[in-house]
Amino acid sequence: MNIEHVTLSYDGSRNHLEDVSTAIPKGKITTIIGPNGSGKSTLLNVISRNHKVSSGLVTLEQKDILAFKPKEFARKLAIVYQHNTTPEELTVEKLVAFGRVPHQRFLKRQTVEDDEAIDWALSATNLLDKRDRSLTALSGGERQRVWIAMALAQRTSILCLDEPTTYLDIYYQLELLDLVKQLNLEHELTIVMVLHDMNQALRYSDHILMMKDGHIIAEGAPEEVVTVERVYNVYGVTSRVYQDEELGTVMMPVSR
Amino acid sequence: MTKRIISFAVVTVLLLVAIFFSATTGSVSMGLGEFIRALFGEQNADFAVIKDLRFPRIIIAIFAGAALSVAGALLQAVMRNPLADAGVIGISAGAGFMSMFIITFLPTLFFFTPLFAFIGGALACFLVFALSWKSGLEPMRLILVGIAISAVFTGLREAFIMICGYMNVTIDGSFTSNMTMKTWTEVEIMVLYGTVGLVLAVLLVKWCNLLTLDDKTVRSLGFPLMTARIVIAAVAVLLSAIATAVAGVISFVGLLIPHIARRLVGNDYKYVILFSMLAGALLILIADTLGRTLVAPQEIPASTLMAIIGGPFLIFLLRRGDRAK
Repeated sequence: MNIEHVTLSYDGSRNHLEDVSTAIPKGKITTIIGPNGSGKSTLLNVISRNHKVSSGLVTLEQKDILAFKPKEFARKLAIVYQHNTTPEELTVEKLVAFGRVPHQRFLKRQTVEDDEAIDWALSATNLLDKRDRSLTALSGGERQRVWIAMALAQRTSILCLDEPTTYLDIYYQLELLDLVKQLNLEHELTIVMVLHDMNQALRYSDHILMMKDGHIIAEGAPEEVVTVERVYNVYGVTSRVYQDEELGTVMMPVSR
Repeated sequence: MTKRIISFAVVTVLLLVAIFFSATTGSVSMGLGEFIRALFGEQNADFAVIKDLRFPRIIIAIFAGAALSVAGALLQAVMRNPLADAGVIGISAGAGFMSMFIITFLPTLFFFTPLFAFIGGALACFLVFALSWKSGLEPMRLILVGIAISAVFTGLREAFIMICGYMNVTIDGSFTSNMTMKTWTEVEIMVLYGTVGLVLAVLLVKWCNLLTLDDKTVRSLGFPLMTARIVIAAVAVLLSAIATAVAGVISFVGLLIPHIARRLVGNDYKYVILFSMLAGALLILIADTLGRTLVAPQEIPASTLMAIIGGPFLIFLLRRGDRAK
């Protein structure tokens, strides 16, 4: 996936993304980091066609993403948003089955392929035993996994996640990121996500995009991108960045 | 699960009982055995009277109740608003005014009454949508806009009746809000258009369920959100337009019944819509039967009874909504 000279302005007064160009490496975990208002979620929304760009181009398989039919695009890229309204009383399985919409035509019955995709999505997210539960009966971590299962049922090669850990306790944050890693390794999914926690980004990503004021400041391998100077320039925070044997690169904020 | 099955069984039995009771109660009456024998072909003079006098009315009450309830459920899905009802938000008033207006000038087009009602209902629905869109279809605001639209169309209708009165133009009696003197022609209209609308509604249950997700999530599935909204709203308008064209403006059914349906059979629209059909039919049939037997030979229109039950119910829902905040 390529992003070429993308500029986006919501209101015309300032550019929320300005001349952003980069490539999303296939089969890798790419994480977008940056302070609030840096444009990281905006970039994710551009990639997923949720926001229209003011100028520039995003291509997938050498084709402008806007040239895909909606359902065709939804078979190539799935996105899980940060906040989802929980529909009352719908079962996990029913909800995950919505992920098959891009593969279905109006009034056509669910096919064997659909059933298999739903089962696969439920087993990949470890929800098989919860399939008949209603969503309101699940924990926050389980709910987030249901939304991911729905995206997986779309059977796309790219999965986008907008701050997937925000509303979760640290236990479930790790559980979720382990799941993301596993999906990437075992099922070769290309992952693009926005994370707030820099250490989680460092630990779970192959590729990092660091953003500030609508620009990409730095990109590349985690240990190359996150340096003491950049953290200061981007976040205005002094920090210590060091290597840990088990964790790899670790960033500890010190003072503002 | 069992609660759902029991609810469906109970409402079906009650509907059958109500049909029997309604058919056999009034100036001409008969017992169950006699009624069933006559129904299966035994000669019976009383039954012939019942058939011509009460069957059209029963069929129309059943279809009107089913149509209005399902219309309410569809509107609630499309507006994501538990308070949406064709009567409350002005769709019925728009339909009522437009059909009366056109048929008064072109009485030969009688069979197309539902079409004109549809145009009026669609106009009202569009206005409500357009005027409350900016607030994100916020429930309270939508209801207020709807009440205003409803008032305008009701006013236009009354003004029109007055003007016609002065000018000695006769208005067809069937446009008054009740179910007396219904003919088989009207039954045909009701059954034909009503069946089409109800079948369409059943086909749309999956779309209705999808609309419970957030807009951006629905869009990310490549689902044509706007088209779905328009189609579902159009079916809702069609259903309420037919009911209004034949049985007059009846408010609150579409509010009351889907609410009860959700309580009894869950939030899956497959069950909400099927249950609403049965329970809506039951409610209007009971209202109409009570209306004509309570103060016989005088009548209280079903719409009046519904307003008396439905008004307090709307207030109850609003108060519950307040507490939820």
